[in-house]
Amino acid sequence: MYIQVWSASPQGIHAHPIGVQVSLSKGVPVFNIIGRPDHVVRESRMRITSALKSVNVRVNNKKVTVSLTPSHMSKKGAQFDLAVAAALMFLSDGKRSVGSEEAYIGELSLDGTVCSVQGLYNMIEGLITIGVNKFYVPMNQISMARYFPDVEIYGVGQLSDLQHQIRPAASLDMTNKSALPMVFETDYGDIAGHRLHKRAMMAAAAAQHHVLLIGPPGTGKSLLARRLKTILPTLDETAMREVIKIHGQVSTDLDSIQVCAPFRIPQTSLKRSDLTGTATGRLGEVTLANHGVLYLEEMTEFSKAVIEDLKRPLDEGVVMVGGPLQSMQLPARFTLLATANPCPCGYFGTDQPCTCQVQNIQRHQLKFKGPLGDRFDIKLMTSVYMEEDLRSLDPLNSSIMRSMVENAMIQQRQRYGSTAHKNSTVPIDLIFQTFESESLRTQFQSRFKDQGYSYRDSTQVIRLARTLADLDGEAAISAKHLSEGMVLHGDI
Amino acid sequence: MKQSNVIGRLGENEAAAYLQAAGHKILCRNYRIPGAEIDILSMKDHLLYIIEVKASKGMDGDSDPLERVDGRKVMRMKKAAGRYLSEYPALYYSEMRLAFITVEGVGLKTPRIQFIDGSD
Repeated sequence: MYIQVWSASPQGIHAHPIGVQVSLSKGVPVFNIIGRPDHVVRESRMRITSALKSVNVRVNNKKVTVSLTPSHMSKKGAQFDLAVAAALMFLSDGKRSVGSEEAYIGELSLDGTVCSVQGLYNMIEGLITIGVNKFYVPMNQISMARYFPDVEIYGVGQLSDLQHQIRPAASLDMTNKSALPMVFETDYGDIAGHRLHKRAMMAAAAAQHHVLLIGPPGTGKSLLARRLKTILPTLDETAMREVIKIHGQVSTDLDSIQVCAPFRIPQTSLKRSDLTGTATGRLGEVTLANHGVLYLEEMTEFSKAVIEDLKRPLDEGVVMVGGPLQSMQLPARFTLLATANPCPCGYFGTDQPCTCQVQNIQRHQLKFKGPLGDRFDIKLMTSVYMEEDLRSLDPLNSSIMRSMVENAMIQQRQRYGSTAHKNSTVPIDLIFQTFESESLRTQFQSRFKDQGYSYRDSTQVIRLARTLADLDGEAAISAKHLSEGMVLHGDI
Repeated sequence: MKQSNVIGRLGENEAAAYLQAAGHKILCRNYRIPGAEIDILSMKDHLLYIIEVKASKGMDGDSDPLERVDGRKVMRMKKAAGRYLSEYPALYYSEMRLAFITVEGVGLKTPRIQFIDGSD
């Protein structure tokens, strides 16, 4: 007796449909799983035989062969448990017939409870492309149904649920979760003054401008940087789906993603493979930060190789992992936010005496000055001078800044017609068209020349000026925005 | 002798009696080579049966004796069977089958005996 159902195996940020063929026959009582299973899949026979006891199905005296096709691909994960167990149930009692367009995804616990799995979104998406239209998924991940209104998705809490007729989850409303209020422990209102820096942060949130903050210890670099999370705009549907695809591979709880864009803070001991990811399917920080922010706190503490590896994702918005035989392209479009001290002791260029040797300062600054430093749109110093009274709460708090960012987002969407493009990525021609006058353009071209700007510097300032104008709600770029852009761009 | 060994020994006796009643000719019991053992070798209708006996004391079904059979056990049985055939060339061309006998309720008046033929 033989039966085939569908399941899927994760691969990068996608999932491959896997046919789970199960045969149950008399013979030497063994339970074999073939088709390049990894050790987690091989262990599933223990979970399955135990879980099947909860529905009074015994396969110990039968010969069970499970074949995972296509057999040349390696399979990983515990999500095949439910497919194999369901097939064995149907083969044993023969009460229900199984259609060829049914997929079962879920891990089993020993008592027959169906547990949630990683990468469920990607698996459903991959299986839809081959025409599967009935999905049996873990009950506690049933909320995934809201992203797939065209197919029938059933929640399975216990293996015994499959013995009865279960009803598909009503397609839930896509918007009901994103309306959740956002609660953050920190707020930009805690930081007095720093108007210029806050403006830079708004630009970063609104149009993915990369920001570098340099300053002596205790001047608010980290305070400013960590609060960027509180003003990030909510993701639109396309971006959210992509973020769910990526983060679903590493986590089963996706509710927080529907509220806020990713904000990654890697440790300074980060390895190269952890930054870019590997061809075996492990995702790196650049991919996990896609559509969000990658924050390198104390950027100079990261290894040189890690800093160099950031260049390509920054330029192209993708990262290539793997060697010549098996390579994979993963999305990596993020806002880079970095903080650094000006020198190892931290006081170079301030009133306090710097105790570092010149070579050490040069080596230190190479990390943020070289080709990577060139890619930061905004380079700002933080100063030791206190501008305002310490006690006063700043009126420019996160909620005001956030609404300005959201407005800037709306303006960009109207101008470019889609959310895929931001001021930092659109063709520069589209931005030139929004200059106040042609004379302004020629005037600033000569100013850029006087400053010794490269082509990249000039376009960065122009793009930044566009974002600043959007934050102010103005349709045309004026001299004010260009000048402010030059200040934010800095000359570090 | 440990209790589990006693149960196994009694189970094998029950199984041998069952086989003889079913028309088998017992060729050998407890054929051992290093690292492997065949509980019973028997002939019936020109078929050579390599039989593993699994016995249990209870009959509640909670401890299915066959749960103690896995792929490794089957490999070991095959290895021992190969050695046996090389020792008895007369049997070399006979068709061979792996089989399992479960004896549940060893020591009871009517133990439950199940014969599982591994031919298909």
